[in-house]
Amino acid sequence: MKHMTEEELIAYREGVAAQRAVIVRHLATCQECRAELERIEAVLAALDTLPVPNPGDDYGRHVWQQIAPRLPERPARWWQAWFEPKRLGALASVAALLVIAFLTGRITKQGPTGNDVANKDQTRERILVVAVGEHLGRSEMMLVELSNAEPTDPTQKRVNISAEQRRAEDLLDENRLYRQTALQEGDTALASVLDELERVLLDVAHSPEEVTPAQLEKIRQKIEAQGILFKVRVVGRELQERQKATTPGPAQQSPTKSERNKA
Amino acid sequence: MTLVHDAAPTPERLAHNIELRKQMEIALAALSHSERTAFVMRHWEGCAIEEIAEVLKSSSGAAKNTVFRAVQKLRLALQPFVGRGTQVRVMGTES
Ligand SMILES: [Zn+2]
Repeated sequence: MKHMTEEELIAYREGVAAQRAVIVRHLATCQECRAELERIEAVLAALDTLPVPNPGDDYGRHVWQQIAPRLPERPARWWQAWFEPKRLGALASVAALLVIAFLTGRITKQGPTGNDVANKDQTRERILVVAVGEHLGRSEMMLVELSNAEPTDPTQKRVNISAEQRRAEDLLDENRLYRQTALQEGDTALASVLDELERVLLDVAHSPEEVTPAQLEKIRQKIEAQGILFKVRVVGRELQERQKATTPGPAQQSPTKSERNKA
Repeated sequence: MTLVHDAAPTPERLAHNIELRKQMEIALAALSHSERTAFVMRHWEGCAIEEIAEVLKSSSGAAKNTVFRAVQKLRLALQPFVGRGTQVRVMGTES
């Protein structure tokens, strides 16, 4: 039997296959093509977890500066807003706009609900859940590294933590936005952990660039006393569960997208 | 997919996810301007092929092709990092 080509399978996954029924029939009987589709799916699913291209990356800036003005006018196109050049300069603009996008999604949901809105809303929730999860992961890493920080030169009495500080500052901006969102969404458990994390991040950000071992020990003790690493891990895990729950199954994802677009 | 969601993040998992993320960003950056535009419009917004064609100032057929090329390139770049099934089958073969 003739297998589907990669092009046909990608078109199917993208919901733009011309002979959809033929592909569906073939997939029903062909294990090999199903496995191939799964491999395509796995790459696309991984890509879907990218919250948004980093605004610091030139490609994001260039691409969107070029295409944004050419895009047809329409309301609430969150990805257009994300890449507005004037916003790119703002601190943590991605995080800010992510939250705005998320909230906008929530607001539109209160209008006439259809599959379309529900799907987009789910996508937004997934994006937010992934973003907060990654934020917690980055925070955890920074705190772990800080806990393990030692003088680069053993003869030196002081430990340079400026790298961790810069990261703490960036994380602080993100953290505030996620905490606000969590509060607005009524997720008090998440908000409370983010609140504790924020205080630890503040401490780190406001410490001197070079600390004595004793000062570093104090920071470590604070991190430990609050059990913040443990809490961050627990919440991170919870978010992963939530992410699983909101991730649409591969089978209906692309057809839904294409159907949506026809409407 | 390879982003590991099953357990609390270990340093290894974090490192792996960070690496995958980096590779995804590199792969996206390696696409041509129109491929990236088409892919992002399709995947981050679920735009119709006609909308993508409008932005690319191309036909629907060409836009479809651009999406296909983008996915194909991303796949080539990322398949090795996305867990099981790193072998890409030679497509369209008879069996
Ligand atoms: Zn087959």
